[in-house]
Amino acid sequence: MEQNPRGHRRRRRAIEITLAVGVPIALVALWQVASTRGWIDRRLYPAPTDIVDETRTQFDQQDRWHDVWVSTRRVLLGYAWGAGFGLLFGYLMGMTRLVRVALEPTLNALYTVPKLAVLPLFLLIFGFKERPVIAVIAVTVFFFVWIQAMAALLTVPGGYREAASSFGASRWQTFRHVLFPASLPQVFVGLRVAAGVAVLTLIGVEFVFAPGETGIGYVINQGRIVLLPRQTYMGIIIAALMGVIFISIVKLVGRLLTPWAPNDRAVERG
Amino acid sequence: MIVVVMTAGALAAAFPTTAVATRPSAKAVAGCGAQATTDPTDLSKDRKPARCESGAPAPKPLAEPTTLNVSSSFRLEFIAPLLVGDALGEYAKENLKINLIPLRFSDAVPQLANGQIDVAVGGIEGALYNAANQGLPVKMTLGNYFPPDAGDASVDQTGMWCRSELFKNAAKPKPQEVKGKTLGSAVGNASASMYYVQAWMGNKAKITELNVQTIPSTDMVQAMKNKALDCAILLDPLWTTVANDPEFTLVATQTPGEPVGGYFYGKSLLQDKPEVGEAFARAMVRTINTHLTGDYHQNTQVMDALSKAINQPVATIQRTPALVFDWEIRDGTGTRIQDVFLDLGVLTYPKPVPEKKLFDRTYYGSAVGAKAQG
Repeated sequence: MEQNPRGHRRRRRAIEITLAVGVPIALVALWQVASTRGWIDRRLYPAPTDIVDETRTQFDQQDRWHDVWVSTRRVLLGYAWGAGFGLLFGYLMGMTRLVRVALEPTLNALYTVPKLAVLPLFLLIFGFKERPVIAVIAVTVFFFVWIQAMAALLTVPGGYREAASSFGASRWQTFRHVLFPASLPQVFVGLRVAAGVAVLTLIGVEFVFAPGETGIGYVINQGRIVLLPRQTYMGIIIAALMGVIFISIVKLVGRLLTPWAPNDRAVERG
Repeated sequence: MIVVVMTAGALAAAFPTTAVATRPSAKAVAGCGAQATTDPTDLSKDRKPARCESGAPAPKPLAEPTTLNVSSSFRLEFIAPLLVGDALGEYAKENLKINLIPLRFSDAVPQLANGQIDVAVGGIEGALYNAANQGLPVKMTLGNYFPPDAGDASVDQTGMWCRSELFKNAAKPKPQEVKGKTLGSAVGNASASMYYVQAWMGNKAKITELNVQTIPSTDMVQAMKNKALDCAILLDPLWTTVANDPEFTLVATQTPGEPVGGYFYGKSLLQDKPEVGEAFARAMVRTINTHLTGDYHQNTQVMDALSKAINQPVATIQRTPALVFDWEIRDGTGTRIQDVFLDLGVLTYPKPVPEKKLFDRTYYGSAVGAKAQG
């Protein structure tokens, strides 16, 4: 039996932090050594320091901030539209059986369509500017949020509804004070997943169609087309950072709005 | 990503870039006479492409059966020397087996460099120049084709098409009239088509005055109809959908008599097994001489083979004219295209790459018995 549980937890936490920070650092260091020592071809697999140099040069000389801004704007707009409609449809279908019966089979069928495959259709419908890109992101996000919102509402324990009913709550009051707060933690899981997927979709779309030849997906693809591996890796890292930052923001907002929800470390603490 | 890089990198064997296999000196080849070579500086419109007699050069089978990984983005008529030759056994006569891999040229270049792909079909694109600039072993060794009416915009064909309303007189479009307009291209401004667009503009306008938009080929016509694009590079057979439509005008075509793409060898055939590279070149040259000279669209055997290989009906193939296949590489093409890419900012290195780092004419030279020109 552990005689000093607090000390044990501290040691375990220290080991976890060391692993979390140390493993990526070790991998990057290995990559650097492999590239600089010629174990892998540095021209095709540039060293991390090469990528840092390239990033500095490109941001100084080629205004990559503009590409970051354009991509961020596309993601945020697509996400806002997709999440908005996803929540609306999710809650509507979760609350009303008739609507669910009417729409669920159709939405399930549409859910399985690869969203990038509808880009040509959106180009026809929305023209060849920003809107088709935003629309593809929005449609992708919509499905992730819609499913989570609907499922979250449907899986609220029956006891919650009974309690509200016993207090004489109306349908709206039950939703407003019981079902909505109870479903929100799970909804935020969907919003977090959708945030990552939005960035993935953005990069995929910008590979195929990037209005104005701008955006991080375009930068990655251009590096690939003209064989500039450093530029490609730079773009991939920026896209990854965009995803991490976006997911973290959604997670933070989720924590602020749902203080009653168990957080990520609750299981371990418990 | 790190793991992917490390794994991929580990697979890529270290390779020297300076070790170039010794090329044998050219010997006379039966059936390939004076017409088997042309002056590489000749860019005249009426130049006849190099040819040997049918069946020449004779096969010299490799001692061991060898499979070649050949990549191409497309299965279209312009790679007929590969597809028809394979179907009609010309590569088998050299003891070669072709394994065709669908892969974009820019993605094939790193694979050429590390030897995973032996031959890539592609255009003279930005990736080639950056590969050469970085010292990677990738070179164009055989040209591919040019359209029979290249240089004559009065004949409908592949090229830069624009909405007619852009011009005061659509029969005589002026380069100044497309300044500031939007040009659609499937691979953006890194495409070799930028070269012939600039050639058409001459000194009246600069290609940098066009806004190039990358857009899938199949969406270009619709984009022009919607006025989202002013002009587009329409490849075979997409241009046939706007031919004879007065709303669209062919403005610029591929430069006459000058292939702007071809077959690229990498480490495996440039350094490790040049004799296999020679066998491939021999089979390709023989295929052109035997099956793909003149109006091969009237040759039933060839059309059957081509139709099966590209999965298109013969009638569809015959809607566009037979191409002129040309295994030779013109002198200066690489430099001129590079100049356009440097202007466009596609290439950012300070010192232009010399053509000897881009092209190797010794393989087809050896196949037809011509003196190698490097």
